[in-house]
Amino acid sequence: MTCEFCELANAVRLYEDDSIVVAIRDHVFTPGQITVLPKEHITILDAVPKDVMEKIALAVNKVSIAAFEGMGSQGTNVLIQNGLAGGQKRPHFSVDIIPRQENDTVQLDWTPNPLAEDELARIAERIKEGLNPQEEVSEVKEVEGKENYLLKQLDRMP
Amino acid sequence: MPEQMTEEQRKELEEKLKNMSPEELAQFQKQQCIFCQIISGKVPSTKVYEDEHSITILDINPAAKGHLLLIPKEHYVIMPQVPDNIITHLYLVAQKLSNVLLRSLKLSGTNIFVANGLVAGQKAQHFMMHIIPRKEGDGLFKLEEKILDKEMLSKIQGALQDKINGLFGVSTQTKLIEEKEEPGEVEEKPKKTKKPRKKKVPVEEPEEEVEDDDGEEEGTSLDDIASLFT
Repeated sequence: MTCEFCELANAVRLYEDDSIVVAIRDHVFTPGQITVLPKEHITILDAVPKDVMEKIALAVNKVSIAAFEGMGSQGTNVLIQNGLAGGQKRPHFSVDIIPRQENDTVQLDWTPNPLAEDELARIAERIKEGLNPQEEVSEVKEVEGKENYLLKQLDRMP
Repeated sequence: MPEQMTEEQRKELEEKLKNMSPEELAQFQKQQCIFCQIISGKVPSTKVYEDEHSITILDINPAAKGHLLLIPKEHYVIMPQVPDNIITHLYLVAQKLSNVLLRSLKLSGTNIFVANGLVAGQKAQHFMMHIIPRKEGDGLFKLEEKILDKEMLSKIQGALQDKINGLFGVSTQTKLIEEKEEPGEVEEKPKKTKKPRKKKVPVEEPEEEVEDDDGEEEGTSLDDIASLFT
């Protein structure tokens, strides 16, 4: 299977190093849009390694400066579309830098849906649970496990 | 705040702002910034995560349930003002939060979104990253792709390549080699021999420009964007 982003056949490469590419693609939301992507075929945000993510972050910031200055844009949006529901169209992770002008046709705003305080609190709890327990619990377990295992091994030694 | 001021007070404030040094102005912006007040705890928020450099809160006017705002503790107005070590940190935190949202809220997608400048939809004068939960058919962000022809692509490249080279620290020598290679891909063989010679001319200019880039040029346009908020 071929991946459009691995090949970037119809794109112009503005910069590349051993792990990332900065390119102007032929499919864009608005002219002047620039895409930063890993060279390696990484499908989703979740799978991007730390060092590649750091490189991408720095590249996105530089590209955003270039868009302000080179394109004379009055604003930029950075957009990561992660997963089909997130609007991701290709099976290769990418970040788009979208230059903005007054009265352009880019639709990136939303109608806010204010939440009641109790609902905010409930969602916050679920997110906090997702953030914390796996780390703390697994760390504690690991340490305990190792200690016990090591202790048992020591105990068994004649 | 501003609405409650009398005409006299407003004039006084304008005069005060005019006479402020950039440092004083930055300090003043910070005092007025709602997100700085959230960070210091003066304004309540629903915090889900905090570390040395950032906090993450639930947006009270979300695009979807679980919409998170990842905010650097330091006051930056737009992304280009954020130093390298903070920007990399924020992207890593955003990645982690996106993964947590996917699992905790059983989503089928997320968006990480940044708005720099008023026309990009930035609403607060404090740089932040949005992590937005997405579900199939939620109708958020109706984006349509357009197709650019080759002429348009090279026009855009013309506007950006020197800036990109300067910002990424690509030396003009490397650029000369790269550009020599590129005409080879184009099917205009007769012109091929002439092209490298032609390219030498523009290459000399960027050398000077690269030095300029760190100076005023960069500062003014970005400051203009940032100062729209004051």
